[in-house]
Amino acid sequence: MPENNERLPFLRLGWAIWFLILVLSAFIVPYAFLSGVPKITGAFLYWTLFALVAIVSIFCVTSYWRD
Amino acid sequence: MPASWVYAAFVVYIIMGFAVAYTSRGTMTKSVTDFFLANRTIGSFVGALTYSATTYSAFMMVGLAGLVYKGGVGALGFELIYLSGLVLAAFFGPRFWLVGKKFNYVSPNEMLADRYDNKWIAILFTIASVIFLIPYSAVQLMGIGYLMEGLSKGAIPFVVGVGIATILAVAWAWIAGMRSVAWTDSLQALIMIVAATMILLFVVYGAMGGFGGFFGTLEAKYAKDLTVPGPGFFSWGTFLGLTIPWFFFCISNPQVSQRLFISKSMSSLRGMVRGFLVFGFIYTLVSVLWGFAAKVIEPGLKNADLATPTLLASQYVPPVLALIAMIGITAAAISTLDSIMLTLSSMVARDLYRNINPQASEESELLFGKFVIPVIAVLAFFFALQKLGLIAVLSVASSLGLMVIVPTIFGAFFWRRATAAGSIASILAGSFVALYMQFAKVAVCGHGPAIWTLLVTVVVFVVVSLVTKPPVEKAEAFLGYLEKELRAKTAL
Repeated sequence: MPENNERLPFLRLGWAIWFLILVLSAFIVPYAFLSGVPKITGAFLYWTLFALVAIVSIFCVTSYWRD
Repeated sequence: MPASWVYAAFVVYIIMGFAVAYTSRGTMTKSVTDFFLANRTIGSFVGALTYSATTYSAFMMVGLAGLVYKGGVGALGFELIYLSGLVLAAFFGPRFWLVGKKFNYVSPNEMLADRYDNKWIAILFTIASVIFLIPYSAVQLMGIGYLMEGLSKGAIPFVVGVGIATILAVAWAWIAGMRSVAWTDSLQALIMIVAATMILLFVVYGAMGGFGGFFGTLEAKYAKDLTVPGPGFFSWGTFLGLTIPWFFFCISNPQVSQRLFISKSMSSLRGMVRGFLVFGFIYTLVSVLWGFAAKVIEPGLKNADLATPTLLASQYVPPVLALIAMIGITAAAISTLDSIMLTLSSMVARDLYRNINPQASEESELLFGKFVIPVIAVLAFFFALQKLGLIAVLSVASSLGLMVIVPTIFGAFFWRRATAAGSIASILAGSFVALYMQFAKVAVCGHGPAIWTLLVTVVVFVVVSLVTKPPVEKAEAFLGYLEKELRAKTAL
């Protein structure tokens, strides 16, 4: 949780950039780097890990929320 | 499978559904907010399950499995990128919830109309939602009709399956509005995920000796299916075209975004988002693996849509499990249907009826909304019976068509300079591009309608907003309140 609420705009921007990179990677990595890897450890594993990282990141963002 | 088994399974499912729907009534009042939003009292658990059941229609266990069968692992990427779109709920969720509570918004369109100080935004987007979501509902009904007809080998005619589904969706929306929809959704979400997971485990351990053997067979025999573009379906353009509209689903589809209003507290909202992410991750993996399992068991299917029926009819799935799967798929369709009907009726009542008749009492608005539910259902029912190709096209185009509201939503929360004229012009221009390119099957620079619709909508929204006058006072009241509250709630 951000101790100082003045940091919120910076956190907002930082997380937005992080999610942008993460989502773009889900388009670029499988098509550009894994199209020659015909294994379960190729695109299948990458997208699964991508989703797990996205889920953990969203858990982090929502953990800031207070009632 | 004998028709009597199918009927018996349905009777058990229907009794359970009605029991849950009636129990959910609790201390229900006669207010519009109570009927359409359960008085904003939904907790984490029910919130997460209704969000999941509403989002995931029969498409997952039937359509997505077929897409995997046809195109390979690209279908997993498409669906998981959609799931990651929930990041939008992490940013927009608290904003919707806070202003919804403060200004007593019932529908997302009402919120946008108030923020931009122009009722035409609500009217326009309600009409667009009706045009796209009724065909989408009809396709759900058609799915149930075909499924029951197929599994009973014709003993239960198509029209009976469609009829039963329509009646259930209306009843479960009518009994207690959002309360009965949310609670029956919860029951149905549990049926969906338990049925899907059980079938997968039975097939993988019964036919393939476990996941090691399953993945080994995939790598040995279907290596190409584990890459993109793979067998060919998921070309770069197709992948982008499918994924972009779905990434925005959680804010563009009103039946889903309206759920951001129903939480009891910020903690409940957090529980809803997190619970959905866990549900969605498991359900996506299971549905994708269904498609791969069908490929291993029966590789030569000409029609990929038959992947799931083939899997269920295989010797590895006991008839009782196939029956549970049928109920699971039906539950997935009905839980999406009743949510769409309830949301559309709230929008027709609040955003059309109320705007045309501002003096209407709350009682008459509620009555009108309740009257609209069966009207929408009857329309979807007759559309489903026609089995028209047009319905399928509109249904596929629904996420594309509804995407035109996205810049308006971003502008409402993040750009004081955004104007109603910009919003209306972008909705009209974007809808035109989406429908024209979809129907005429036009591609520009190798890309279909998704990218061009998004681009045109954003450009028109920004340019028209810059040359028109923003609603300064409204923007200040809306965003000023939000900034203060977001800081207090430490929400990004």
